[in-house]
Amino acid sequence: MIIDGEFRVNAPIERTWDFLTNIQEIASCVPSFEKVEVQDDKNFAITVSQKVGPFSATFETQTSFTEIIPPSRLVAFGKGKDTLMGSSFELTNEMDLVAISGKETLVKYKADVKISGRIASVGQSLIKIVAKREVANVVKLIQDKIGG
Amino acid sequence: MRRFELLEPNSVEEACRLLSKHGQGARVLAGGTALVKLMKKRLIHPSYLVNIKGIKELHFIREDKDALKIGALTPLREIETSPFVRDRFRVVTEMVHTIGSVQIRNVGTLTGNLCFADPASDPAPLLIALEAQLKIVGPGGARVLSLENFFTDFYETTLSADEIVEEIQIPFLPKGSGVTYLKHTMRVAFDLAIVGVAVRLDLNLKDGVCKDSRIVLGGVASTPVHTKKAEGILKGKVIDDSRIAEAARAASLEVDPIHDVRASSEYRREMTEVFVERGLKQALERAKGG
Amino acid sequence: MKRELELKVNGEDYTLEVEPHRTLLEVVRNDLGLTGTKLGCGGGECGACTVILDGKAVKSCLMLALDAKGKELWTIEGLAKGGDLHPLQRAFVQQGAIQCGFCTPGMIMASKALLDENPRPTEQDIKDALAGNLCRCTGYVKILDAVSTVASEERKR
Repeated sequence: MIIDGEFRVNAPIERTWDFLTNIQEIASCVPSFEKVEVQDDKNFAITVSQKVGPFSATFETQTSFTEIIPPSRLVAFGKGKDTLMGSSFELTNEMDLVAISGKETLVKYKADVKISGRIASVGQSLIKIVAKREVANVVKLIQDKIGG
Repeated sequence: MRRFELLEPNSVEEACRLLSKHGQGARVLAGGTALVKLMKKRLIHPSYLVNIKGIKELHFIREDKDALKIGALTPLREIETSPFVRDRFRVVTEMVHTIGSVQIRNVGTLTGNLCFADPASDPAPLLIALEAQLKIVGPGGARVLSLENFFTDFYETTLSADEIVEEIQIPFLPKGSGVTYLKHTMRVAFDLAIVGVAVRLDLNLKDGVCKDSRIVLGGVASTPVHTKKAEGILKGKVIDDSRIAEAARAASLEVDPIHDVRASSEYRREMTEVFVERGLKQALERAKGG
Repeated sequence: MKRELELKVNGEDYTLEVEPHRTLLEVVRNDLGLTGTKLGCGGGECGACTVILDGKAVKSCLMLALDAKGKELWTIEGLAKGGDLHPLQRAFVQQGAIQCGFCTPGMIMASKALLDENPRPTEQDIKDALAGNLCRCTGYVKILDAVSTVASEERKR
């Protein structure tokens, strides 16, 4: 499923770029990133965890920055499994940055999330709603943290 | 199903103690029709099941001067066939009849349905419209909570991991009240609601003015939706067809329906209007004594 | 860890040892060897697993075996008496209400539970009682007719 949109941050494009390419900064704005292990500056082992009512899934993913064109384009790809739930997770996230002014940046994102396996039987529509909420949450946290 | 340890307390206090001890690793087992199904599908993996079926005091249907009280262990079928319930709340009998099938209702409980908090739950919108309350017991004591404040999200309630719902209290309706529950499903029976509409009208029988109303929708959002704007259109007014149509339209605009495999958002919105209108007409007739 | 399970099945007393995670359906089929009750969907929706527990039709695939402790269970095998078919079985056979036969035990047990509780059901009563049982072969008409026939035979008595 595709979740896309855009948001503004009160910061110049360079600061925004630095923030978005710093995995620890990003992770602090993504509640479902339970754990981040930095392997090198482009590759990370991220534990992604999400809970809805009694249902929960924890995916051990291998995530990488696959396209890095500073300061305007960043693409990340993550893939992993939840062995307890017999489920899989795959995320491709494209981000394009546009400087609106010296102090404001527009971030356009397109996240393609694929969740399959047993957890998907709670309903793709429920998963989409949960994913959209997480994205909205992440956007807000990023805006607060960069904007200051 | 994965293995688990089965605990069988004899009292509510013991049950709460066990729940407290095992926290998120424990689940309450009553009828089990939802729980066992999820465990067989391996969507949940409790290490402990606290089987409360041994707590016989939780199995009852009784009344006091203000309300009907249904104990947590009362199977749906018992509620459905109780002449007592039919006499006091015909709409509850009608609603319970639409849940699942006879075999499910012989085992599943009304309380269990509410605690599972499926967004398409049938009892939830109706009992909210009836202003039902829950008596909840935990290690810290008992509290009474309005059902309206019970549901927080898909399959989520305000119940803590160490609490049990002991009983459901449904206050008796004043004279001049009409309540109806309409369930829009694809199949004639044994289906989840695409839209579930509970409508209650409290009329002043002398002048036909609506004193108060409740329009509560199930199956359209993550929790039951109480459409207050639609109710506002009816309050203090005489109810006629055009007011009913206005309220139904308002209700359909007040929801942001989910889109899933059963129906699209647009269809749910459309059906909300259709069924709220039908529900209001039926509730009006019942309020007038029909 | 296994727990003791005492129950009456088709009129006979049994004492079994079962683990908590086993369903009543599993125990009936595997431990008691009564394979007349079927595993269909495994999720409480098709009704092929219907048995009668303490007089009530239940879906055995959604019930923990230990929850049948101290109760009286009837399965399809318990209906025929000394080689004579139960009236419901006979009606299903005679009226063509059986094609592949997979839904049949569940249909009959659900019907029996209905007639034991309500010997004079209306057509709607029968439909309500069987709403939780699916049949992919017959189109239901002959099944409903068979149950109706037995009900009206009862009425004549």
